[in-house]
Amino acid sequence: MSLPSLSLRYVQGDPAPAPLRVSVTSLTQVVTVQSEVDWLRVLLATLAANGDVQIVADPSRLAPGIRRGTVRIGPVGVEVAVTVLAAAPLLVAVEPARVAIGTDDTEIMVRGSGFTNRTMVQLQTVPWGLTPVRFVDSTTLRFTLPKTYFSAEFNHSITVQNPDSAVSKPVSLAVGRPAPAIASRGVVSAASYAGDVISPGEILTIFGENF
Amino acid sequence: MHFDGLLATPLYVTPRQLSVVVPAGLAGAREVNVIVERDFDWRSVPVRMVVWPARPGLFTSDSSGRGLAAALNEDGTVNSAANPAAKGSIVVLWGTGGGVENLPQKVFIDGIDCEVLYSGAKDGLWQINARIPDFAVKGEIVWRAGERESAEGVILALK
Repeated sequence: MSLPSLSLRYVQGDPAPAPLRVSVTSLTQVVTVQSEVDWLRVLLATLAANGDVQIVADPSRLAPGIRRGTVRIGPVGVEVAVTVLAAAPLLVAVEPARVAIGTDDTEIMVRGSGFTNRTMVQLQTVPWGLTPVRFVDSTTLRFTLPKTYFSAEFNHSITVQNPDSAVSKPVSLAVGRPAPAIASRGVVSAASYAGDVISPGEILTIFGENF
Repeated sequence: MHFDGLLATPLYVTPRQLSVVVPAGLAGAREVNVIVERDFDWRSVPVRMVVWPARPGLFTSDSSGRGLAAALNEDGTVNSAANPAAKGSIVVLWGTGGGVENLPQKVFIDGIDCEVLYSGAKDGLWQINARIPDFAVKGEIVWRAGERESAEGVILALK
């Protein structure tokens, strides 16, 4: 009988993980199957012939961390390790969500909930450490992105993570051309170039930048 | 383009210039915020504009808004100093801003009320067919839509 060790990852609040299946072979006698911890359960008490043993884990009441339990199939113990993560902090938005190419160092406000003074900000999944992340309150973090991050068109992916928590869903900070700007007295009739007024159905010419 | 809540797709866009037809849904409005939006949600600072029912303007041959009108003579050729129109003949004028509320359309050449044989618009572009008065001299054209008139300084080349 060859038995693997098993591992699971579970985020608090998520549905229970799918049952694990262990294939038992080379069985020569009837063996008992039982769990040694209450958060692991097996779906049959004995095994008389080669076959599958299903192990159901319910880590919903476990605290964050790595928890280990054993299921005994006859004389052999199968270790099941479950990494329990707290629910990810909720990341709602970053402000500004768009930054123009060439912008100087910019303070980014991270908005959401469930932040702590140990919440980590990640840029492109890499923990941010170039500048301090300031904890304002459980809904707001601030950090400064240096201008080198605004040198070209790019979508930065920002996530947050608490110690022992899952990673939040990402939000995007877009670096791109500056916002359009309408020139002073830049809305005129396409025919006469007269300004100040428009009329329904009229063709306009609009002058400005970054259209 | 945003005109308060009304969207309009530009006819063309270059980095520093675009053209757009003001939505007909603005009829009756007095003022409106005009906003240029790019990449779905990157918006310009709004520009507040007064809205009139009409603001007629005639296209000109050099696109300056002044000088020789962009016009066709009765035989379909382009009106110019080298190809002037005869008095009493029909010219085709092009403009924009005639309104969307069936306003009365009039054309004056040298201050003389002309016979307008046709006026109509498609996608903001107005075509007006008018007869040149027999007593016209300079060929100065004014287009009146409702209570508003086009700017002075647009002329027809006359024989």
